[in-house]
Amino acid sequence: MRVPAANAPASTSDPALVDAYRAGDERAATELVTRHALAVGRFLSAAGAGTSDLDDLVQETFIRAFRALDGWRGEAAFRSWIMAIASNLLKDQFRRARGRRMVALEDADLAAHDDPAATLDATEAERRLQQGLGSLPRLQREVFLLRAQQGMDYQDIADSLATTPGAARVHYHHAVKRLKELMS
Amino acid sequence: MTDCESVTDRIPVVALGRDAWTAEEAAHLASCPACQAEWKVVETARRLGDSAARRVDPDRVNSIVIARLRADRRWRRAAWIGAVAVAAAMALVVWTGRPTHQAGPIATRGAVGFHLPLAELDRLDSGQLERILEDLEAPLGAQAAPEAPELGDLKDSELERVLRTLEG
Repeated sequence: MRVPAANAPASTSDPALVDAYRAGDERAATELVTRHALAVGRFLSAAGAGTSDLDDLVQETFIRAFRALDGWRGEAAFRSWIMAIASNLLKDQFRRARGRRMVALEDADLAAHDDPAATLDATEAERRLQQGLGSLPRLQREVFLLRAQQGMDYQDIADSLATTPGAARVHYHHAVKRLKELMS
Repeated sequence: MTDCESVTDRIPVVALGRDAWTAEEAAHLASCPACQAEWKVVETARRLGDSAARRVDPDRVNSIVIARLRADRRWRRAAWIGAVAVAAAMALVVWTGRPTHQAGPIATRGAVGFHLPLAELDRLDSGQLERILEDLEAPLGAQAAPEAPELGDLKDSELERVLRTLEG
């Protein structure tokens, strides 16, 4: 049975959208993608996905998520669950690429500012950060990104990356310490 | 008194614009180089993420994801129909091959097993059957007609006909 469009507004919770999709409402899937696509793209990009692969990886993340939706019982937040899928997808991609970890950041991806000096500083900072992220162990990098870019708490990060909140906190602090050194 | 840990714990949510510094936290941040360095790292990561997000087109992602999910459903439906068809065919095979009590040419043969297609033998009495068996067991040539003449009994003209026949 299809759920009417009016039943899947932007204010509907993720679990309700998942239930609606399971009941056959395609619009619920659309809303879930709309809600999380940018976050997934942000995470994949900073975690090392190539520019040309980014769209494909975001799509593949959602395809895998919807195919495996029966496995999501709602214990973890949908965002955490989808980040776990994105992380695994990226891991597979790295494995296929035999150790390629990060791609060069393109100038077009760097921040644009009205003030040329500020632009230069920001661009340089972003370049250093990108390089620094590439030098971190995978778990440290992903914990850092989920916290710094997604604002996730340690419990959600632990759910995403199959670790514990305490370990996630330690990884985050190690990552920040290393990145601070590289950017100073 | 605000310490570094309480400030750094909140840096991500403030950098993402989900919350704001309290006056006390802002004062600590302004006077603490370590917290400022961490703020710079997290804020740069946020900017980097925003740049990356600009490369993702949610509408395009949506249309491709939905199209593939529809294709998945079509494939699953086709696979389901195929499985049902195979199951039905197997059920039909099993059903037609089951033992039956109805008399019929195939079923009768299967149930009775081998028998000679010489129904008339059944109607013979034992004496007649014994004679048939004796005939079958007799050596070849033993059944030759008793009135067949020996070569020595033939006349000259008959012998010549036989020889011509043998010579072709």
